Amino acid sequence: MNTSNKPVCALLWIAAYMILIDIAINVVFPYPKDPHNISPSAIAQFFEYGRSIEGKLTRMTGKTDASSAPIISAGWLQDAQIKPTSNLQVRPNTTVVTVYGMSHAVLLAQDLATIDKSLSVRIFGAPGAVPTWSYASYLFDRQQQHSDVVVLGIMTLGVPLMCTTSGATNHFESVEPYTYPRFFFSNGMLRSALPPFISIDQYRDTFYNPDKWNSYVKWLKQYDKYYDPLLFHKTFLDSSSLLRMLRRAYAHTSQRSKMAEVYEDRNGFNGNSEEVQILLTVIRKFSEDARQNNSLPIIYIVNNVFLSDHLFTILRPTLFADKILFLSTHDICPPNDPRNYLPDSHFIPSKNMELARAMAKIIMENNHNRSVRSQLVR
Amino acid sequence: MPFNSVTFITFFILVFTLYKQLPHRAQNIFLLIASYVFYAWWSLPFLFLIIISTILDYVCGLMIGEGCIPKIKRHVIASWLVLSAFFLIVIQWNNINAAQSSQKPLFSRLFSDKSAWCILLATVLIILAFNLLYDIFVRLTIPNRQRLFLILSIAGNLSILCAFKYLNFFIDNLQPILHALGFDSNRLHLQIVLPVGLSFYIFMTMSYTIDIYRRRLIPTKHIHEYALFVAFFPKLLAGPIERAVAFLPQITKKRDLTTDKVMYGLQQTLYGFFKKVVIADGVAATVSSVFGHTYQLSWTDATLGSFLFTIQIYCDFSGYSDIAIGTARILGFDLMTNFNFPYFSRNPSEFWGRWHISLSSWFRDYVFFPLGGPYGSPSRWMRNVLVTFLLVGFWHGAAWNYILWGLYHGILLCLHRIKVSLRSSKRRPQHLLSKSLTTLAFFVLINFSWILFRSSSPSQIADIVRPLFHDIGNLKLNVALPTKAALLGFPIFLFMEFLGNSARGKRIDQIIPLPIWTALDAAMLFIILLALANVPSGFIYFQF
Repeated sequence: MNTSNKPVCALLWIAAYMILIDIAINVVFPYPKDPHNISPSAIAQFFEYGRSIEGKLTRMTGKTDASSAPIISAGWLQDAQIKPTSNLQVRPNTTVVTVYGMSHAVLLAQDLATIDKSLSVRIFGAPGAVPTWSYASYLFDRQQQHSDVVVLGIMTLGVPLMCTTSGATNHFESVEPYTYPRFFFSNGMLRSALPPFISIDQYRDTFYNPDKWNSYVKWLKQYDKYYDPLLFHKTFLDSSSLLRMLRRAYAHTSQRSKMAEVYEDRNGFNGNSEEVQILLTVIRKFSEDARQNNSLPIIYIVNNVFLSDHLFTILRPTLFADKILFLSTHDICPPNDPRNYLPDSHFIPSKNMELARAMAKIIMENNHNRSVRSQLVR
Repeated sequence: MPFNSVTFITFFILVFTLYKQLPHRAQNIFLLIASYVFYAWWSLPFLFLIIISTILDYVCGLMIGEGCIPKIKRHVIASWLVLSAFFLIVIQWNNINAAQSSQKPLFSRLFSDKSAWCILLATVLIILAFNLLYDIFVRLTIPNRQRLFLILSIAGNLSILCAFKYLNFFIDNLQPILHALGFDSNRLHLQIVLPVGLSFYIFMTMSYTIDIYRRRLIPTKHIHEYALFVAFFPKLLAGPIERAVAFLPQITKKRDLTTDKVMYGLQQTLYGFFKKVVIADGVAATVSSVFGHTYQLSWTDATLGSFLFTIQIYCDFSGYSDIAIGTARILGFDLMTNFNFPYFSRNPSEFWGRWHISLSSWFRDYVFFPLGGPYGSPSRWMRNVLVTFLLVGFWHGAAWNYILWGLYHGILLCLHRIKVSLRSSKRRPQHLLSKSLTTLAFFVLINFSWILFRSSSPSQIADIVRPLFHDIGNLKLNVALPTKAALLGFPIFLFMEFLGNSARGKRIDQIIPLPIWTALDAAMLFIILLALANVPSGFIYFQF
């Protein structure tokens, strides 16, 4: 071969191989078209991570529940209660405990229901729920039913996402369309902006109506810190597996830099960030409101694996100053010991049970003197 | 501006595009400016340190080699130094934004640091002192002048190195003595960070004056050429520690920018990125969780952690070197080979001829041989080896674990030397199996040395080593596995290493057909894309 042609030939070969790899991935590892298939192969899932948020929602959202992926029903504020099973019924002469939060809080509540029969446990959960979702869920629920004890679940990784408004924008790789209000400060007061839709029916109506969807996107642009047009909108990039990987890399980089403004592994939380300030105010307001409502407020603080007790550290002054009860996981499950955690980041069953016992003890010790105990639906 | 960032890739494309358009002399000046911008991206004030080291050795080099510096050149040097001190140290550029919101006027905010003015004043005083004493220096006998300026160069460079890297270590370890003498060791501590690349460029500049003193090199007359030798951005942060003898001629002569060179450079850069982004970063989390553990490690944890760190440090540093050498080649420069597949070594002597070659050869030429080298009685030779490796360990950092690591390698070399001297002169050639077993056995010894290197305290060393011997067979794995990209990339990495080792210095594209090596390149590119979403980590050797 002529040496002057060699670089050109090499580039052409490399380009040809890349195109071949791209096509081969799409052909060999296609993501299942059936929205009910919730366990595609790990490789198919891996190459799907970089699809745009709209692209993922299009695949998941059918015109009816039957033609949609089950996950799109999760986390809607108007219907966030986990369906009561035999363990989770409100029974007479029991203490009604309602837990709001992410999967860690849901798992704790499930164990709580099994270890103390004097408790009737109600659960409101959303996948990866951020603290604002939990608080909004509490605000929605307390109008419907009184609880003796209300538990707000918060985790370290949820705090940097306080200024998002949807499960679609806060976790790029696994989107869920549920929404929640955006809290913000205006003239020193905590205010909120409610998204255009908060139920699955409203969502479906918006999703299939281009005008409503466009106005929702405008709302996102105004209120959601994690909205990014390159990640959100469905474009030609979705067709190429290699370009999807590039978008995934971009998503990680941009979300890491947004997260670093609020939280860093080494130094913990930035106390001056808007997210932390909102969180502290939300916790104060939650406990004030619960007390006024004759409920016992408790904060369940989940310190994620390898992230030390940073969440507890940033909350401690507020919790002690306002005498708010809490259960922080760092004592029972030191975050720097991965043996306490499952590969999916939840606590191992024995530790989860230990945490539930600790929560039951807090409830037992602090609910004695309350005037309202074990109330039923009024 | 780390290599594994979009910023660097953009910066390099811009530099290369402009560089290609310029004539030779302008190329050198442009590269010098680009190198300073590259360093200033990390820290503007510490760029002044590079300029000090550059000017110190340029002046010392001229005084050793030529015996004089023309007046006009002295004025140029003085002006450069003073202006650098003013613009890089005195002006507080960080306060520009702060000044907008501050009530103080911008002017007073920019010039508010009194210690910065002291540095400027000291700079001016040193220049004045040199010019006042210049005639005395010129009148000295040649040997005296050469010796004086060699001492000045070495003392000046080592002072910078000690102040920024070792002072706090000495203070910590001499605490009882300092306390007895009435000093408060806490007050003596310097609250400063270690400037990136300091150990690398200080060693480069020192070798320049030593080589002139040894008459192996004629001092360069053009300061911008010497400054480019020191600051050339591909090698500035973590080497290779180039020698002026090999590098300066490449600056003075016109460089060929052939497509073949560019392609070769790109290929090497790609493999460097692959090793860093896919393998080193892909195993980093597992290694950190083993070495940063707060619980009892199992035998599998400790074995996997130490093995993966052995892989991580090699891929991290040799990946950096490959990117440095590759990008330099694209610009028309040939940097020295820094790694030659070291884990295929069968003994410590061979290992140090393959691992961080620019550093080991530096210590060989400027420490080991001046101490007496491999000559003299066995005890004298062993002393020379141990002292050299103690310094190699100390070069890596001001901590006892590095000294221990250096001594461990020194002892391995001494034992090897004893073994060689006891062996009969007629040796039968080793079979492939025997060679492989020797390589594997030596790999285990090297693997152990990295435990010393990575651990931050003797108790941590004990925590990692204990399960290796007391918990054999416990297969429980408590730590997360490396990333998918790292697992996918590992066979390609192994294949490339075996191929490279058997190629004996030949280029891969010369030993395998085009469709196969381009397929390898495409596979690496694809896996890099997979790995880009992982959390990037800094280069390990930046801390040295």
